[in-house]
Amino acid sequence: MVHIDLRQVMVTFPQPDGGEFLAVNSFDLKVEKGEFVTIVGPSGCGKSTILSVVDGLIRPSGGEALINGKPVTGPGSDRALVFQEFALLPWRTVESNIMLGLELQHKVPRGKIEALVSHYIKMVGLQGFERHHPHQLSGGMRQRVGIARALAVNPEILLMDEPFAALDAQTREIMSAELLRIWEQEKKTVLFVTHSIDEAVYLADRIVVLSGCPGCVREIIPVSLSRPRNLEIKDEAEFVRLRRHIWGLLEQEAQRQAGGRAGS
Amino acid sequence: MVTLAHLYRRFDAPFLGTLGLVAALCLWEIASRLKWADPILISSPTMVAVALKNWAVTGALWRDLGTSLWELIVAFGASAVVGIPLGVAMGWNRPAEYALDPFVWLLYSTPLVSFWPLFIIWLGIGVKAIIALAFLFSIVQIVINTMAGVRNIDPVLIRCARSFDARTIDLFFKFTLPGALLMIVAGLRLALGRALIGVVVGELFSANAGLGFHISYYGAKLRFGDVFASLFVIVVIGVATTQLIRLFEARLVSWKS
Amino acid sequence: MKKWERAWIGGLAVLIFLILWEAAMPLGLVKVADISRPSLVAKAFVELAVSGEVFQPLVISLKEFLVGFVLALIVGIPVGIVLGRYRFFSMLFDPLLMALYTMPYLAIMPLLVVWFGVGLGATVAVVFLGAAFPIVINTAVGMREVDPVWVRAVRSFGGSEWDVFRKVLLPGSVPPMMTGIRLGVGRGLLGMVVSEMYASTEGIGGLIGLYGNSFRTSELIALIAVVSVLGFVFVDLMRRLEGWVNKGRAEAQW
Repeated sequence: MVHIDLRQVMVTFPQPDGGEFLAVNSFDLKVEKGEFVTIVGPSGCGKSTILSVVDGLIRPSGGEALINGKPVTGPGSDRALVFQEFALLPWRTVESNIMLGLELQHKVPRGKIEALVSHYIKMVGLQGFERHHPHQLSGGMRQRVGIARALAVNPEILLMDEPFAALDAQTREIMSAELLRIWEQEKKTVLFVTHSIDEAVYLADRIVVLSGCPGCVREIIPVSLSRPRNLEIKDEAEFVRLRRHIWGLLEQEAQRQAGGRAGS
Repeated sequence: MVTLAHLYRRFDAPFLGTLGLVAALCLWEIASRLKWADPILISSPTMVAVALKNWAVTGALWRDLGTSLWELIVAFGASAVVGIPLGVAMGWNRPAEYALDPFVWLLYSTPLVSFWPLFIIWLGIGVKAIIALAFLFSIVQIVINTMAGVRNIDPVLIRCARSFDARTIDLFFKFTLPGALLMIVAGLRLALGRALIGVVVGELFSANAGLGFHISYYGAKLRFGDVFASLFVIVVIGVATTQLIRLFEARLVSWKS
Repeated sequence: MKKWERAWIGGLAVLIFLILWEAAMPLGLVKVADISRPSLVAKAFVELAVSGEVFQPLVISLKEFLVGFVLALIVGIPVGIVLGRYRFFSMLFDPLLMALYTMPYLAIMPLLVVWFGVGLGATVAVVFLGAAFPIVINTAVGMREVDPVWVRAVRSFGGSEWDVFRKVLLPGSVPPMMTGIRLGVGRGLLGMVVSEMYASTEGIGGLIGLYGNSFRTSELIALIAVVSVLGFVFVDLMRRLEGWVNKGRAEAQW
């Protein structure tokens, strides 16, 4: 069953000089229920904008975004966003940060919130840190809070906006393995934006590769690696092949952005 | 010897700082005793101490202190009650900011003491005019800080609130207000200092009691020991009240440590 | 349209304020004493300007302010540099300076009048005292808070102490120094008006005191407006200078 249906989505932002900046140009994507789709591409290719469209934070200037066949009109409790910057409230404890979404949506009665929160604290492995403040946590732990906060509102769709980009390389690996473990339990539909090819291949059922032109899909690649996956899978021939293939698609753009010369 | 050097290295800042203060006081005392400058004009630490003691013994100190503190509290309290909502409105609502902006910036850059004769005409010489001046000194700082605090909230947090489809009232009470709290309290701390200046200047111009009055009264009589005694008390009030707010600030940011 | 929103809403608010003010007394909206009216204030202002009564005091005030302020710059910046550069001096003098800084400089007006004489002397002294402290303290803080990475970079290329000072510490501490100078302008102007109102009948503050004593509200408000504009121009000038310095730096980094 098609869960997220993006049809010819176009997004433009007005510029201060009166002109318009094209962020996404006629983007098409269908995501099945329970599917894990990653979007990978160079900086400024409109990845995060697409996520904001699905979340309802940005209205598309053209085309349409459908969830379960109904057009997106704004943010809703069927979707939850995980931020690159974590977006935790620094004055709240871990516990009360995870509560935040439930509080804001006023759907779960007060009495039931606590049980829910402790369930998700356990799921992301933060037992013992309930009373800590974000300042006392490592980056990885902070994002665990961010993920728990998103899961706590029990969304159908989890939107992840480069959630591990601010973490160091090792923490990143561990967090993506953790994310898969949680996903195997919860089976949400996930749309995951990243600029790490490794991460995109490791996590995905399908990978959407974007190119430099705003929101242009270079290729949509199904990933046939078996599940559940662990980190050793990154040594398998299929993984290496996929990684090389995507790098081939992105190299030119990456070279240009790094200030080098394209090709050899 | 080794331990002395070690001790010195460990406590050099407080040691040298105290040394600096003590040396300055000694220099002042010596300059006065040896008449490097006219002792009547520069007074001396011992003269100040004696003046302070006499002031306290006669009980006049407590009356003056009470008067000034009362004016300070009323002016500061009123400016917080009026200033914080104004600042919140300006930070929260663009048109409100645009409308109030010209007045706030004009007041911010005006030497506010120029309003003093107006206050005298409107409120008469005395406590009311002094409170009005201190209120004006204080409120500008409170409005500006509160507005900046409300305005400068991390945009990612706003995006987070919107993503959770937060109601406006939740956005305000769960994101904006706690996010701005630190800036608001810092504004209160600065405003308190300004209110104190307002009180002292007002009393300097016209009063029959208070620390500023003490200064102008004994200044005119060339009894500078009493003048410095009053300055000392003013500094003590300033430091004590500021420290009080700092303690409160430290408790507010307990989540940072 | 959006670009002009600030200007027209602000302008409209000021206009409404002026209309209300104009109407307040004739309509009996206020019960307090004389609040004058914008039209009367404007008339008073024109009269003050035409008779030239306001110019001589203004020149005196500006002279007093500039002398005190320039003195504060000449003394404040080097002292701030020394305190920011040498830990020994800063440890020795910081508590003393902070004690003096917390003392309301306006409160020692009666002393300054006796020490430096009514008029020019006392006013220059109070402007100097008001402006010097923020300049010294911000300059010192600026020198101390320069990113140590830059210092390491200069040292690692074999730069001398003098190179570190000239190429990193001095330019690096300019933005906080500018902030100190801006704060100093505000405090200096306030000191100027207080001194003139307190002790002398000269200068713009003296004129304010004069019209205040004779209860001539319209002239009084016109003079407050003059002082306001003076303050606004100075502070705005400093803010622009500050913004310009910082902008130049932000661009230079790329």
